[in-house]
Amino acid sequence: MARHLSRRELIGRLALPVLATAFVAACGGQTAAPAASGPSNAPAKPAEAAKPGAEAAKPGATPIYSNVVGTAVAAAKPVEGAKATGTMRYLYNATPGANEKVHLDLIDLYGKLYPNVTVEKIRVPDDAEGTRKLLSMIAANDVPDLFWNRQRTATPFIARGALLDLKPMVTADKIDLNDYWPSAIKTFSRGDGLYGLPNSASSNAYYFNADLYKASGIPLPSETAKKGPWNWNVLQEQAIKLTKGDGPNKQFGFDPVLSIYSVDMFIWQAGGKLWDDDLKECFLNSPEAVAGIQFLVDFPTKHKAMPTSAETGTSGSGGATDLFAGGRTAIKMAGRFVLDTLLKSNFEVGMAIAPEGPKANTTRGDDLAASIVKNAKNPEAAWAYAKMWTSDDGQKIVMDSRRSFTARRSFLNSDTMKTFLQPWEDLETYKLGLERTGVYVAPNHTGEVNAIFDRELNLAYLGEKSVKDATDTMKKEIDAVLQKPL
Amino acid sequence: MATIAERPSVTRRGGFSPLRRQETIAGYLFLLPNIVGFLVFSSIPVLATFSISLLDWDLIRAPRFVGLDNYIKLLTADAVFRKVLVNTAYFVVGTVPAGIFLSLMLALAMNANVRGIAIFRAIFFIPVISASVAVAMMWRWLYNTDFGLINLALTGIGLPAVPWLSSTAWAMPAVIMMAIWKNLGYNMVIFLAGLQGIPAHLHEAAAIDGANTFQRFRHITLPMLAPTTFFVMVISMIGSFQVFDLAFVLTKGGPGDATNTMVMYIYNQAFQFFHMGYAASIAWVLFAIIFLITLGQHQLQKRWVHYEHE
Repeated sequence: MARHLSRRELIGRLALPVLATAFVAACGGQTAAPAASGPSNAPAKPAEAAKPGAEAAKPGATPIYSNVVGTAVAAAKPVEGAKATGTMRYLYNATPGANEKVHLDLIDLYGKLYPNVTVEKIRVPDDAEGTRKLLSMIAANDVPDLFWNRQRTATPFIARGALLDLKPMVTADKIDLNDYWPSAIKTFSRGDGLYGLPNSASSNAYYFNADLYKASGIPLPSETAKKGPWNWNVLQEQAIKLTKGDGPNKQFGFDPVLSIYSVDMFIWQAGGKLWDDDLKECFLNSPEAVAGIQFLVDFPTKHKAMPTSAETGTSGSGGATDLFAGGRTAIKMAGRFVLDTLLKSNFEVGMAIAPEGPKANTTRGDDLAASIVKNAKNPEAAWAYAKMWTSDDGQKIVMDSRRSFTARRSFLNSDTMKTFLQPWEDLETYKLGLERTGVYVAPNHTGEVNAIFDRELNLAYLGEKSVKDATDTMKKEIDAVLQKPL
Repeated sequence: MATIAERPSVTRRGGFSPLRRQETIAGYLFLLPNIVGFLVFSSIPVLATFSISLLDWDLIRAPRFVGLDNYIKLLTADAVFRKVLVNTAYFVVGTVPAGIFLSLMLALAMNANVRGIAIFRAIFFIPVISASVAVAMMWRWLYNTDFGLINLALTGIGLPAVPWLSSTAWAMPAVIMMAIWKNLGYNMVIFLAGLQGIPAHLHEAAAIDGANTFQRFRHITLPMLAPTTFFVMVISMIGSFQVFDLAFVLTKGGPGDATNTMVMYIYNQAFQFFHMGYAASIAWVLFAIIFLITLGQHQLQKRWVHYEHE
């Protein structure tokens, strides 16, 4: 039989969830920034504290060591007067092996320069896991000091005020931001603040299988790019000619372009934009954006010249890279991170700049930076690490890792730069690509926007939706997300 | 005969005797680690998720109390939630009945008293102890449109190749088949235990009365297995509603949202979209659905499940 609760019992039962709510709110409040304040512009103490050590680690000020990074690390001398001490907790993503080498080499160098600092490595396998890890650590008020940040992980944390503004430190240490690629600075900037010191760029290029081109009697893209015209029509024409066979041994002319961070280039080149500058309205169903996406979608649906997810065997880009490395794709649009994979392939590799679109020659990139987390316990040590990474010595390690590319113009123009390139890698092509890089301005609700975009693009690639229908859905749903307050 | 047990454990004043009190305290002390563990790692987090479901919280900034807004939005204005709800129901309906039927058939086959049967039982149990990620990777290759074994078999008998993972129509059946295969061994072992608990004399008596194999299965095995079947049904249903890892590795919820499930949606809301409060509210709605269905199953079992002591 139902029993009526007394007033005391009722209050007692309701109190539990309310108290728990208050408890959670209190816990969260400890780590949180004010809800509407956005990134803080509060002066950063660590800049002053790190000043003495900064002289030696400042870009361009550190002595140049030999081409062999390991020898140079061994020869590195402690930075005189460095105040950085204690433990520096560093959150980065890498899989063990070649992928992690850059971090281990940098930590090694840091250990030589700052012997009083112990680096606590917090390694996660990928950037999605890095986001989750950082989120959990912030919630637990147990933040890392330094976070290896990149284009696709930056905005959610910058917008919510989770990262330290590095501008005061940059100013104090007289770091010349003009030396960095503009796209990198823009990616990690918000308002007047800078929330990551760029350390590497995943310069975009078109890597090609020269053997397949030669076998088909088609001029190499590197030659075509020099003579011209090297544009969408030429790329499409070549891709169709290079597509041969059927079934498991089919050869494809072009590589899948899957994420918003790559498709954006085609939208820009078609004269379109993803959204307005205020990030309030989506333009993905504009005629220009539709043209850019249609150009890509035609490859698998109309020309059958690009492998579908069924043909790559994965929904991600890993299978596509395997296809190229296996000699079954003629041309691949990628950053230098594929270099290790390419070096293992048994065909002649070449590289060219991205072909021009009908309206623009903008390229895409993926900039990476070191970000210091707000409430970090050792920002001095983290800032010293960020500067070391972007210094000449740090940039040598970046280039030597064969996973990325220098973040600095002056280093690109230095004599040592060429020593890190493969014979077929073209410095001028990298340089041109980086100068032309467009900036993907990520909306605050990056994850939601990406999920909508990926879902609809996938359906268009599979031929289950027309590009017009897919982009109309993108527009409708992304507009709703853009309107949402943070 | 006087024994220790005959000593009164309740005193005249209605309280426990000192010995009984000591035993009670000792009992609770032994239980304490488990109780503390249960409270710290289960009860309090569960209650905390309810509290979080009443918040707008991204884990970075201060949470904001929004009352039931998350639930209202979820149930009235979230088209993706409706889609994942339908997908999850599709998965449950696809896996539970077929999984129970196939594991029962397998258990009947594995109940034979033949040499080496333990090896076969172990073989069928291997998928259960295999890592979900490894299983999903293996099935990804089996489902490959061009050179997957399944399509090779289909085309070998003159049927067209199926785009298992790249078609919105076929992706969920592909996930369902893999999930049934993965869990078959677990249910088989439970059914096997149930089968071996059926007294042999019942079958012998029925055989003497002239019942054939099917009649014995229909009128002895199935009724005697009813409690086991009920257990398997409840556990399978709960497990199916909570599907995540297999679908996540195999399809990441795609193509489109074809294999996006409720738990995957919780994960995305929490860790991709930074909506911890909203994710918690989905978790509680999922809990409510599972609770109500389990309650319904429990009520309905009175009609078809009979226990030996009844």
